[in-house]
Amino acid sequence: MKERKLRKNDILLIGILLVISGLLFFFAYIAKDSGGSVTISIDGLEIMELPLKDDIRIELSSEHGLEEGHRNTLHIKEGKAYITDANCPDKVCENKGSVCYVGETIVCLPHKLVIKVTEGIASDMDGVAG
Amino acid sequence: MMRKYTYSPALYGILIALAMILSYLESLVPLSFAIPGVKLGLANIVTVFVLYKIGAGSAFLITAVRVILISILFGNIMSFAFSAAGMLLSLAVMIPMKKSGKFSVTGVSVSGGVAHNAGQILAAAVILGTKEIIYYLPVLCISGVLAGICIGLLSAQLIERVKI
Ligand SMILES: [Zn+2]
Repeated sequence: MKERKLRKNDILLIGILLVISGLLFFFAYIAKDSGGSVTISIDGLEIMELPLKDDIRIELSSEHGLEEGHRNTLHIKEGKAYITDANCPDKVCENKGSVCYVGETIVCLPHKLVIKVTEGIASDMDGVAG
Repeated sequence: MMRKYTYSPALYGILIALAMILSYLESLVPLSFAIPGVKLGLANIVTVFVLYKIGAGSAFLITAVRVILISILFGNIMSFAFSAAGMLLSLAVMIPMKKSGKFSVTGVSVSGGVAHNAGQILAAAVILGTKEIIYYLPVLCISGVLAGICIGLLSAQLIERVKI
């Protein structure tokens, strides 16, 4: 059957897609910039902005707007943010590890939670400090 | 020479059941790369198989039923939205790719894999209201290509060997 054999067009298509991926990686990399703060959004609603320079530990729960029984603990330590003790089924947010560059996110889809690194306060302070 | 077949509801039932088992099996193995939406998509073997063996309409029907049933059984409205967006974009790309006759099963399946991930990312960006999810696109593009190659090679074997 002719459809079974890998053809020149397939290789070309795969090659082009890999090149596009490489370019996307490259642009994502050069666009990186250490952030000043993280914003916490739950169900699309921003509830908090925290500076990355202050170490802190916050247990996010229903009082922050998560659904009843959903829990994630957000840590900020040495300028990086990460999540532990999440009781979501997929643990994708925990496995994401720490984030610190502008635009980086930790997403917990089951809990509709998004942690996003922004330029925030630190960049203003750098400007002042010259 | 094409023979005319009439496909029984039982065949559709078996194919849907098979797709659901593959979805479920995959959910048991946490192949998480710390990125939402990265997975092999074993159930797409059934989609590709039906696309080649029966036709575009049936592929759509069987995939849509699988996505709806899996969401009712194991997911929620959010996971349904992501799966549906991925499925629709994936089929919207694979059907014309197959029709063009310029690509093998693997090429069709690769473009479907990438489109599937792009659909999920777009749905996530819209639902969660964060355009930064787009940063996942490079990883999802590569994982879509790799998954598409695996699914394509497996499907090609099945298309050739399995008679329905
Ligand atoms: Zn999570």
